[in-house]
Formats: sequence, C-alpha cells, structure tokens
Amino acid sequence: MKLRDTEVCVVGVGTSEEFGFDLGKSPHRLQAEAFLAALADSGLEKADVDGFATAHGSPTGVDYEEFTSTMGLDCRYIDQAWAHGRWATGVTVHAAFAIMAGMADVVAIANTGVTARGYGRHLRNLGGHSTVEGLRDVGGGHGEWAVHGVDTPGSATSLVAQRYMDRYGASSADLARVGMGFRRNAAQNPMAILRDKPLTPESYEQEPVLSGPFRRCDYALHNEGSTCLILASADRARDLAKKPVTIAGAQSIRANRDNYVMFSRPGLGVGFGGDYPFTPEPAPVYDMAGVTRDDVDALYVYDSFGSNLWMILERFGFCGEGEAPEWVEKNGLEVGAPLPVNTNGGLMAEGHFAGYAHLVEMTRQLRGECGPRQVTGAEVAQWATPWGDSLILTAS
Amino acid sequence: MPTLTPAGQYRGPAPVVHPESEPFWRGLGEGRLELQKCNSCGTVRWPIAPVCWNCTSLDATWTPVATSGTVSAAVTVRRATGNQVWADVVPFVSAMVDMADGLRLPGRILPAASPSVAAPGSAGAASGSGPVSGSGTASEPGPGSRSGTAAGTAADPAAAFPAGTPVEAAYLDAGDGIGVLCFVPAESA
Repeated sequence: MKLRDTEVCVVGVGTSEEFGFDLGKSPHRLQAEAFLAALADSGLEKADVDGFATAHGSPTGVDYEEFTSTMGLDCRYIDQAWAHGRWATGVTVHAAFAIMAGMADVVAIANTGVTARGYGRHLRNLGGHSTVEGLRDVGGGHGEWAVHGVDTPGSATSLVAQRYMDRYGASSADLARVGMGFRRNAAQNPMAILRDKPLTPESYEQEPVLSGPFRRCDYALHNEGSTCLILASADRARDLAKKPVTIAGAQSIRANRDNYVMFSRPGLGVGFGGDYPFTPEPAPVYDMAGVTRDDVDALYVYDSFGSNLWMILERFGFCGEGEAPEWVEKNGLEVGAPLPVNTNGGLMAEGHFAGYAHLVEMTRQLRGECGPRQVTGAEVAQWATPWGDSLILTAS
Repeated sequence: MPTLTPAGQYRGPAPVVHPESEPFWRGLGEGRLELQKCNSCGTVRWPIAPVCWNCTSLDATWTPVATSGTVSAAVTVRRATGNQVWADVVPFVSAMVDMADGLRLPGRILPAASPSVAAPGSAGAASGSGPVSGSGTASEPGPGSRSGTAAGTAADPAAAFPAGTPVEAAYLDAGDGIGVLCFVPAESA
C-alpha cells in the first residue's frame, strides 16, 4: 500500500437541527439531518461521497449498513469504531489515510447519540451506560468496574479526581472553575444545550453530589443529537464551497498498562498505572503539524468530566505536574483568554458528541464563522484527550 | 477473610464468571483472595488474564496474595447513574486500595462484620433483610441506613477513609459459591 502525497481537509461540517435531552427524533433521523447539513455546507453532491465512517452507538446510533442503505450512498470505504470519544482521532485519521491511499475521494464521518430517557424509550434493549466492554475481565470501557463498586465512568473518574485533589491540594472551587468556564463559552453558542443556564459559584454549590468530589455539573451531558464531518483531499477541497481546513497533525491514543483509560494520565497511580513524578512525553502532533504548542490558538478537550482538563493540560505540557488548577484560575477558559478552551461549551455544556462536535467547532473557528465566540485570527486548533490522542487542524 | 453478607443478600451486579476466571470468584466465595502467579517469571496478574503481561507466558498458578492494604482514594457514590441495580445500594464507599504486595485493587469499603459472629448459615448469622448493625453479620447498607443523611447535606462516609487508611480484604457472598471482593476497616477485620 502506498499513500499519495496529499493533504486531507475538512470540507464540510453539519449537525442535527437541534441538540437536546429528548428531541423526539430517531437516531437515524438526526444523523440524516447532520449528513445533509454537512453535504450542503461542502457544496458536494450525495453521489460524491464514496466513503463513510462512524463510531457506532452512544448508546445507540446508526450503523454503517443501515445508514448507507437508507441514505442511498454508494461507498467503497467504510470504517466503524466504538462510540467513545477516544475514537474521534482514530476515525478521522483513518478516513484521511483512506483518501491518501486512494480508497475513497470523499469520506463522511457521522455520529449520533440518543438517550434511554429520550427517543430510546421507543427502542428495544436500550438502557444505561452499558457497553460491550463492560463484559471484559478488565472492567468497563471507562475504568468502571461494576462488580467491585465502581459502577459508572463517573464513579471511576471521581476516584481519579479525588486522588489528584489529595495529591496536589486542588479544591472543589478549582473543579467548579472548569465547568463554569465551559458554561460561559456555551452562552455564546446557540446550539449549546445549557446556553441559557449560567453556572455560578453559588449555583455550583446547589448541584447534587453524584460521586466523590463530583457534582452533577462536573459530568458531561447525556443527550441526543448528531454531527457530520466531510473530508476530501486538498486538491478536491480547493474547488469547494467553503474555505478548507487542513488536518495537519495527529497522534494516537497511548495504550499500555500506564494508560488504561479511567480518564487519567500516567503517573497518578490509578487503575493499573504506576505512581511516580510525571513529565510529559514529547507530543509528535505538533511536529507533524509544523507548529509548536505556543502556536495553538484554541484548545478542544474531551471533557467527559471536569477533571479531564487537568489531565490534558499536564499531559500535553501546557503546565507542569499538579499545576493545572492554578493554570485555569490564572488564564481562564473563555474566548478572550490567552488560550481559549472548548469555545463551543464542550461535552459539559454544549452536549456530549464524543468529540465530533468539537471537531465541527474547530473547523468553524478556523473558517472564522463563529460570530460572538470567534477566536480572533484563529489559525491553529488542537483536539486532545486524557489518553494522549490529539489532532491539530489548521486554516488553509 | 471475613464474609459480609449471608448468601442471597448480595445486591450488586453478578460477576461474569467463565472457566478461565472462575478460580478468582470461587476463591473469594471460600474466603481466599487468589490471583494468577506466572509460572515463568513470578509476576502476579491483575486483572485476571490468560497471559502474563510481563513475559507472555500462558502458564500460571492461582496463588494467595496479600489481603491487607491502604486506601489510595475513596469516594462516596451517592446516586446510581448507570446500572440501576445500584439504586437500592447507594450511598456506598468505592475505593482503590494499594495492597501490601504492590497490587492496586478496586472494591467497596463496607462496615465490618462483627468478629463474634460465626460463618453465614450458622446460628449467629443475620437473617431477613435490611441493614444490621452491632450484632450479627453485616448485610449491605440500604438507603437511609446512614444517620444524618438529609438530602443535600449528607455527611461524607468516604471521609472516614482518607488516603493511607489501612483496610483488609473481605468478601460478599454472591451465591452459588461466588464471592465479590470488598474491604473493611483494618482495625475491625
């Protein structure tokens, strides 16, 4: 297999008409809306799309077979991954590889979430957070280990946050600052589910405690909605409707015993991981993109829980070990901050779309389409997760 | 290792037990904490696995491991947001425990069984349902079993188990000879 020497761009983005907790629409319908919106955004025809990728299920979505057949797509490249946010990088990178390898010219990446309390009421066998990984001897897909009393990703991550707070002296006010920052960003995003619900130090204290140091608002939302991104080669992108955004750099999830998920970072001594002073590995994503960390104009993090931000800031070297809460207090997370983070509001305030809505937002920021929440002169945007995977998108 | 529930009173999710993992769960059911020790390099496997992560040997022997440890982190899980089997069990304390031999194991920290009480099924064992305190084998605490838990102002049960607190392994009797790992405060074990 040889790869063509071409860059790959995001040429279209779209979402379902609404994001929400109970939209009254099937996952299939939501995904059709997102796909058609992205197609219109790109200026391409349906027949141009010859590749399709999805991270199926959140907890239920639309698998590649039902979507290609009902949408009437004719695809020669298909990818289907687990639903969780740690696959957003991989699914996007694989789609870019497919274009570089000539396996497809135009790939649509579409993902949909529907909740058990929303449209899931009408669907059989849907419920809770259950995933196939929950059957593993090594526990569930997010570090939860139900039999042993770590019943959800939330309780697993609350153990991580408790350990971090014990070790570095971080406080409940530090945790609150993460959610409040993302909520302020959401107020400028008309699609954000919590756009009209400000989070203040006072209202934070009123939120119910769910597990350990986590209140309800320290968790991502569990919601319905769909996203779609359309990718094509730089040559193809040049003639399309919108200013292309280049997929400039990528690095994968790190996978070893020190990186078993649990929404942590190495060195913290959680899960099977070691307990040691932490220094980040070099992040090749910057070299591949031809930029440095200081060039990043806006950062997009997988914020399934508030403490994820601390892990990501330290893992990618934006600050030193244990310094993330102070970094957040000093710099802020808002659009006017030195480094704005999750300008869309993130999973905690816009809605949980496993990272794909972050990629939609990054594309729109790099096109300059974000109105009141536009980061002035945004040219480099980074996606990053606690597990070390990352994408850098740049304005072409 | 003490058992904390008479047979039939375990209220968590059932473990997935298959032939290769069965010795772990059956060992617990008989009061033993055993894991696979590699026949080649001596590494103790956690989690349960068919292969040694250190040397890739497939051969291992189920071997007793340390049953004492200290809390790495403990939290109070207050609401069942996933599997609703937990809805009648919350609040409970969930922990990671650094064991004396270097493993880090997960488990709930539960009130200890009274040391004066005999094994489940014997004359002294608690019967019936609901929380039992002070006398008899402790069953799992149910909703409202902790005093002073007015909504929103509940004391934090996990606060009794800061990092470094010594705990001992114990087990919950999940029936059919299967045990589930948990922990009790060391001084009461």
